[in-house]
Order: sequence, then C-alpha cells, then structure tokens
Amino acid sequence: MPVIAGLLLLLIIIPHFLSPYYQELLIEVLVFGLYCLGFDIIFGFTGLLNFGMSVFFGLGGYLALWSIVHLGTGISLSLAVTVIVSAMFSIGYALLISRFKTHYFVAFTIVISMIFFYIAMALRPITGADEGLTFDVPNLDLGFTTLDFYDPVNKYYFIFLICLFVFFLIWKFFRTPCGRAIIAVRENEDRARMLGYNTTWLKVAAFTISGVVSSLGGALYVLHLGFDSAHSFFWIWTARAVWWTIIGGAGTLVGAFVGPGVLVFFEDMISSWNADLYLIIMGILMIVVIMLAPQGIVGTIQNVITKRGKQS
Amino acid sequence: MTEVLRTEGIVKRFGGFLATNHVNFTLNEGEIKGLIGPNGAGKTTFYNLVTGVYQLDSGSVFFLGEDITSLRPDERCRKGLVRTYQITSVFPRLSVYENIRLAAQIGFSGNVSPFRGTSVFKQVSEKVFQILELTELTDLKDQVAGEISQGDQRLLEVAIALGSNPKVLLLDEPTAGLSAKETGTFVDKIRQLFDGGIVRNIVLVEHDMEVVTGLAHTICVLNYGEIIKDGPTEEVCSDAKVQEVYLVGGKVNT
Repeated sequence: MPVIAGLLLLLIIIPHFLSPYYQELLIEVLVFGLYCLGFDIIFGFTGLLNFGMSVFFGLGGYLALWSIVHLGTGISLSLAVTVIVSAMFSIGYALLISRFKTHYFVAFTIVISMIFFYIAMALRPITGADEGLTFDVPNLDLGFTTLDFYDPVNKYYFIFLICLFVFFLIWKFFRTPCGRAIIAVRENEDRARMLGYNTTWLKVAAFTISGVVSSLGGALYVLHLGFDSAHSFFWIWTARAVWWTIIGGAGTLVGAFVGPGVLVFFEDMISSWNADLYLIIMGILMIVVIMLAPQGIVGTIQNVITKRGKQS
Repeated sequence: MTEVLRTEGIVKRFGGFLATNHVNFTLNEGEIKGLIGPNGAGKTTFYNLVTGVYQLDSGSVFFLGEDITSLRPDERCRKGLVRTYQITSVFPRLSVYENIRLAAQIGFSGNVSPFRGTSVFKQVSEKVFQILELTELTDLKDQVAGEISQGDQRLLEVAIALGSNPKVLLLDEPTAGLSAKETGTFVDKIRQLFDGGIVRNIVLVEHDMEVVTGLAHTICVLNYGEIIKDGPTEEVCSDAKVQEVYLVGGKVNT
C-alpha cells in the first residue's frame, strides 16, 4: 500500500519538476500505457495474441479527430464517441475473429490490420493518407472551467486521471466473476467450456474491453499531437504494443505502463545519440527478456516478492 | 425407477470407423453405473457425445426427460451433466481454491455478465469451502493446482465437478495412475459422496475392475462401439460373452 501511495504521489507532482520536453514524453508514456493496457487484457489475461492492435489504435485516433473536426465536439465528447463506436466495432471484430484459433488466429489478425492500413491510405480525403491531417485541439471544457489543452501540464493531468480511472476499472474487472472466467479461458479454454462457460461470449467480452481501452489510448495520442495519419494503422503499432507489454510484464496490468515508461525514455536517450542503434539494442533487449525473464519487469519483481514471502 | 440420462440409437463415425454404433444407454436415478470395455471400445467417445463435445451423426440424448441433443457443451454442463477427465485437466497455474470457485460461481452468477460485481463471491466462497471439506482438500486450498500430488489432483477433478452442481456425474478413469492406497481413498470418497446424497447418479468409466465392482450397481459393457451387455454387476461379471471379450477371471484382459 505505501508503495502504491508513494508512486501515485510521485506521478501527481512529477510534471512540476520536468521541462516541457519531458512533460510531453511523460504524456506519451501514459497514452502508450493505456494502449498497452488494452493489449494486456487480450494477450496477458485472455491468452489471445491479437496482432491487429494497430486497428484499434488507428481507429481510436481517427474517431476522436473526426468527431472534433466534422462534428465540432469538445475533447470529452470526442472521447465518448471513441468509446461507443470502438465498442461496437470491437464486437464485430471479435465475432469475426473468435472462430479462428492458434496460428490461424494470429495470421488472420495481421491480415485484418494490413487491410485497414491500406484502406486508410486509400481514403486520402478523410484520413489524409501518409501526410496525415493536422487539426486544432479545442480547449478542455470541464463545465466549471476551461483549460488550454496545449499546456502540457493540463494535458498531463487530464490524461493521468483517465488512465487512473480506466486502470482501476480493469483491475476491478479481473476480480469479478466474469474477469476470473476470462482468466480460466486463458488457462484452458476447452476445460472452461466444460465447466459451463460460453467461452465464445467471454472472448467477445474480452475483445470489446480490450478494443475500447486501446482505442482510447489511440484517441488520446492524437489529441496529444493534434495530428493523425494513416500510419497509425501500420503494424508497427502492434509490434510496439507487443514489446512494450512483454517487457513491462504481460498479465500484470501495471506492466502495460511500466513497459512504455522504461522504453520511451530509453528510446529518447539512445536516439539522441544514434537513432539506428535503438532498434538493434531493442532487438537484443527483447531476446534477453524473453529468454531470461519472460514475465517481464513487473512479473519478475512479483515472482521475487512471492518467493521471499514463502521463505520467511 | 426414473431415468436421468438416456441415449437413443446414437451413432458416431470417424471417417470409415464406426466409433459408436446405435448405443441405447440408460442411467436410472440413484444408480452408479460402470461403463467398461477394452481399449478403443468407444467409452471416451461416448462421453464426448453425451456431453456434446462431438456432434452426433444420428440419435438423441435425453437428460432428466429433456432432449438435449442440440445443446452446446457449456449449456449441458449448466443443466447438471458434468464430467471429469481421463487425463487430469485442472487449471494448473491457478490455486486449488480458484479451480473450484471457477466451477462454483456459475451456479450463482448465471451467464457471467461483465457488469456484475464481486458481491456474489460471499455465497460462492461458502460453497467452495463446503466442497473443500467434502473432498478433504481444505489444507491444500492455497496451493497451485499443478503442484499437488496426482491423487489430490484426481480429487480436485471431482471437487471441480461438484462445483458445477452435478445431477449426473460422468467419471472418466478417475483412478488411472493412482497407487493402490490412493485408489482406495478415492473409492471411499466417491462412496461417501454417493451415500451422503451429494451426487446420486454416477457413470464410471474405469479399467480397474476392483473399483468398478466395488462401486457400481450395474455395469454396461461396450465393445467395438456397441453395447454387448447391460445389467446388475454380478450378472455382467459372470456372463460368458463378457468374460470372453473383456474379463478373464475378473481381471482385465489386455
């Protein structure tokens, strides 16, 4: 408990000690963390390696952008639009995809994400294709006051609160009967079915929650940049979700934020020195983590703590 | 006597192989029925057909008077038609307690909704503790299921099945791989559960004839996917045809 309280306090006061550059970087960590949280729900908790995460990242971003540009909504309403539309989209995606298993499942999700990328590239008038679209991010209307969303500190607190809220909801969810049942599907789907669970339905539920959370991450990223392009549908975003989550610790929830937290700053450090070196080091790091600590950073720390607890 | 489980002329082919050939099987209320037969006789296939894992080629399955032929496996389980597995199939990385809770919570939270909170866990937990008592697994409740002994895992299989409120329990070689001592404990446990009215209707697939004759009131013998004999235990064991295909002097002929 004191650790969690201390960490929260640190996250609350930290923007005041950082330069605007690092404030922006910290915002990216939160946004990517939310996106990875969605991936962790489907990969770490449901056991499905969904290689179509970029679809949700891209879609979330464009939903927020379209809603602001074409419907003239504010920031909060654009996020509500993102949640509702991405939930409906995720249900359709899940119904289509849940009939596939193992390698076919993975291959099919990659194909879907590539299809979405090429569609986004082709729809230049509404997506801006690879040059993308820039838009004016409206002020954040909170009812009692309006805040300038271009101010990184305001932006940070708004996104931090959303992340905290979503994280709490998901953490709570995996303690409910439905959440536990989804974990049972990860452990042994056939057995879960023979216990009386409609596992298809549970997977659809997991996909929907995952899709909404990841889309929200994509939407916040676009609001943060004031820009979106068809590249947000590119598979590289799926790859990022995978390595950030695995290095952070899949199936731990916290790991989804720790992964980007470590790697975004790491990338920034290395890139300012030599940009090409980053990918080489990333590759080596990925191999080392998978071979030596497949539980990721958070999972490994948890294991050490449980072992200590057993010994004493 | 009322029938709790009945199959009517069920047929299953795998390519050209007739795995189940017009089987008419009946389980009456308050009965433990042994289902025996040589390897490949179609016992496990029969379970998979009854529980809905495999689709029937023809025939029907009736459970408590209702035609369940078109129901999915999870729907059949929720109605109380529950099986255990020949190869131990618990959730190996979850705790013993969690294994049973996953089975037990369905009875309370119905078709699990993502909007339902944890309030139901209080009732579920009471039930899990009852089952832990019944199966004498209370001391192991916090252990990881994959790390407990083979005998305890077999008991856990039964405990999980009990969590699903079984009206009919289908046991698939529950004592396979157990030592003589563990087998004895297991048989006593099943008899206790039956006598205590926890599960009143049991089908038992088993190779160990001592276990079968010790528990079953009636025995049904399968050979090449067909029932060749069905009747009271003593009668079946002394039947000449059964002895020819399966038993030699009460021992398994393999």
